[in-house]
This record gives sequence, structure tokens and C-alpha cells, in this order.
Amino acid sequence: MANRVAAGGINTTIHRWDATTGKPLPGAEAPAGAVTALTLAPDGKLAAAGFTTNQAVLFDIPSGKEKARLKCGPGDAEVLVAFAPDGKALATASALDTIILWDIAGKENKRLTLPERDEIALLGV
Amino acid sequence: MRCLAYSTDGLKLAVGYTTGGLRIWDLSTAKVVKTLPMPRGARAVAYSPDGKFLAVGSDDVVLIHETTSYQLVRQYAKGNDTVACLAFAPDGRTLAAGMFSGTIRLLDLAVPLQKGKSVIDIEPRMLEGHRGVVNAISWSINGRCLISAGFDKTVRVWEYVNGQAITNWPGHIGEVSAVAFHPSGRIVLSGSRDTTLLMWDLTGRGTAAKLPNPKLVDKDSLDELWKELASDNNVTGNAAIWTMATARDIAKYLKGKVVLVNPEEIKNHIKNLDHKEFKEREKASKALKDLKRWVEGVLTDTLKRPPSEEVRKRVGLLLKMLEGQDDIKLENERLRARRVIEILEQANTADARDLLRELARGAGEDNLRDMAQAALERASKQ
Repeated sequence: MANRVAAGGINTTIHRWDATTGKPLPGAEAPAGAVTALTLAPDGKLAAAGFTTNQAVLFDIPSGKEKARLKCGPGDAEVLVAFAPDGKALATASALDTIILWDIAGKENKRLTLPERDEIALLGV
Repeated sequence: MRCLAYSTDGLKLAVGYTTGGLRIWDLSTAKVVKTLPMPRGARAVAYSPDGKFLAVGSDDVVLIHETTSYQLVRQYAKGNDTVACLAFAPDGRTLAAGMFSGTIRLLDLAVPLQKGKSVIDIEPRMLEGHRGVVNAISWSINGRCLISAGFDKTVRVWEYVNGQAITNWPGHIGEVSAVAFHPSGRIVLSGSRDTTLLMWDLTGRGTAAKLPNPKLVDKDSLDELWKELASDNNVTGNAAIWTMATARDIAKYLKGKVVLVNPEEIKNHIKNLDHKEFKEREKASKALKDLKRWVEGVLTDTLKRPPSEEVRKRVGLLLKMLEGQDDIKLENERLRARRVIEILEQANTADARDLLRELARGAGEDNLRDMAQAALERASKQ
């Protein structure tokens, strides 16, 4: 667990954890911040995690390798993630009100934006 | 934003905002089609697996809305504890709610409503163990287990049927914010405020990604494992699952062990306990004895209103014999039956699928038959 903190930011690592020996196995690293959300594609081959840095990362499972990093809005904000039930899209919602639909390669497909001066949106920030 | 969920059909997105509401986005038009006000906020949201219901956690209440007109149909309000997260069991009947207090409430959606009322204030089943907020819950694809994690940094795996934990993994050094049960049933993912994502091996032997090739396990060991499989020590039971899932010809062994029942036949046997011929009565007694714990309920019911003294005596004797059966109670049989279905799906050989097919028709209880059928369908797709 030595790789947790790195200069200039915080590393996020997928560790494989051996429950019998209690020793983490080697995994991939992704300096994306504290984890706020997690979702798995229905086929189990892809995971997406949301971070406090307004980023989401797509990981290959079970290798734990990073496949794509998504910027879900400006600045730092917590990100929620959800895979579509067919596994073909990922939704991210930034605490700063931006909802984006991505394809599984990490390409932005659609943005869901509330009309301006929507009272709930204003309250919801 | 507080919470996010895809609708079961993938056409909508439910989004809970920090204050004042839950919005339903239509993804084809990118417009909000419904706003549920939620004056006390919406912290958790989940769609039922059949897509007909939307559950929202708002302060200390769980609201269930149907998804055509978004009418409120039920609310679970035991009060004095805030809902942090929600997750539907795959069968859609149980909704797990992780609470601020650290308990997990297992809300039963089949509880009938009183006429004209939507509030349910029955005390639900609880899973106790976490200290502090339960941030996330995820069910295994077969509904046998659920995982939870939260403020106390632990990741816990529970077996739903007896509510006991299989593991309590300490690994994170910060609050755990998210968990996900892998569809393989062998891997659990967790994500933490400590900036790590951990991938856990539920088999406990480094075989989560792929089960090793089956190896020979001798009959005595299998018999021992068969006993352990009924253990209500879930650590023991879980270890037995993974040893048996990789034992050669495990389906053949299990076929000789599981009890298959046919409700019509049971009815006939009960009737024949009162047959005019001694031979037939004996035959019926023997057949019912072979069905072990699975006829306990029918026998108890029959004993309440026995049609004759002969039946009363025979049923009384059968129930007495059940008492002596290696101390395996119906609860343990239930636990073991679920574990057997897991083993067969994991092994996924032609024999295993055949036995799943038989269990889908003849397992001792309705929900076990449903579980076996669902396992068979998943296994056949592999």
C-alpha cells in the first residue's frame, strides 16, 4: 500500500486483495482522488469510478487497468456514476450540476442541462 | 447532486439533488419529464429490477413510487434514522436500506398495505455490525449475498437468508464510499475516500478471476463439506462452497444428496397415510421421510387437523424422526440449498446445469426453484 500518496496529488489504485493472506496484489494506478462512486457494467468487464476531482475513470476488470479518464465538469467536485443496464453507456453526474452520458470508450455523447434559472438547480448546487 | 440511477429499461435517469427534489430525465429528449419535490432531500435512489418502482430515500423515510405516473404507493417510515443508500434484491421483493446508524434494513415489499394507507411501520429485518453510516450496498446477481461498506472502513459480505456475515474485510484506511458485486459472484469491488479501489476475492484463494480446473476430492471429504455447507457459521459455509465448486464431478455427488420434491406427490403421500391398505400407508410414510425437512411445514399443518388417528400417529412419528436428523434444521437446509445452487452455477458443467434444471422444478420451496431457474439461465448463457 506504499503507492497511495504521491507528490502533487493523490494516487488512486486498484488493488487486488487476497483475502486469505491479506496482502494486496499488484494493480494499476490512477491519480484521480478520493472515490465517491462505483459502478460495474452488467457483463462485469468494465468498472467505472467517480472521484472528488470531478473525474471518472473506466477500468478493465479483472486486470484493474485504466481504460479512460473522463473529465465530468470544471474544477473539483464529487462525481456519481451509473452504467446503463445494457452496458453501452455510462452516466456521470457532477455535484456542480453537469450530467454527461458517455460511450464505453470514454467519448462524450450527450449532456443533460437544466434550463437556466431553474430554482431547483440553483438550490441543488 | 446526491444520487443517480438508470431506469431498468435504460431510457431514463433519476437524479437526486441536494435540496429540493428528484428529477427524472428522459435520455432521448434530454429533458426532465418529472420532478418529485422531496422537501427533505433525496439522498438515495434505486429502480426495482422489473422497472415498475422507484425507491427514494429522503431523510428517515423510504418512498416507493410507481414509474408510470410516479404516484407514491408505499412508504417505510420507522423514523429516527436517516437513509444513506438503497439497493433492490434481484428478485425485486427486498429493498436493502443502509442507514446512518450503521444498520441495514431489509424492507419487504410484499408486506400488504392496510386499506387506504401507504405507510408501513412494521419493524424490518436488520443486519447489524457497521459502526457509523452505511454508504453503499450491492447485491450478488443471484440474491444470495449482499455487500455493504461505510464510515467504519470495513467491507462486509452477508448471506441474506440468515443475515450473518461471511467476511468483514479491513483493508481501507478511509471511509468506504462505494461497493459493487461482480456478476461472477467471486469478486467484490470497493472504493474509498482513502483514494484506493480494492478488488476482493470472495473465494479466499486467489481464484476470483477464474476458477481453477476441477480436481478430485475424495468421498469422505465431500461428505464433510456437505455437512459444512449447512453450517450457519457463514465463514465455514463460504469456504465449503468454493472447495466444492472446483471438485471434480461435483454435480454427480450433489445429485445424490439434494432432495427433490413435487407438491402434487406430497399431497398424494399425505392422503395415502390414511390409505385402507397398510402397505400403502407404509409406502407413504417412507416417501415423506425421504423428503426430510422440506415436508416439515406440510406435516405440521396436517397435524393441526389430522383426518384420522392413524394419520395423526404417522405424522407425529415423522416429525419426531426429523428432530433427530443430524441437528439440521429447516433454516440450515435453506442455507445449504442456496449454497448448492451457487456451487452448480459456478461449476457450470453439463451435469451441473442438468441438476439446476431439476432443482428449478423440484427444489423444496418456491423461491429456491426461482433461484435455480435464474442460475440455469445465466449458466446457459456463459
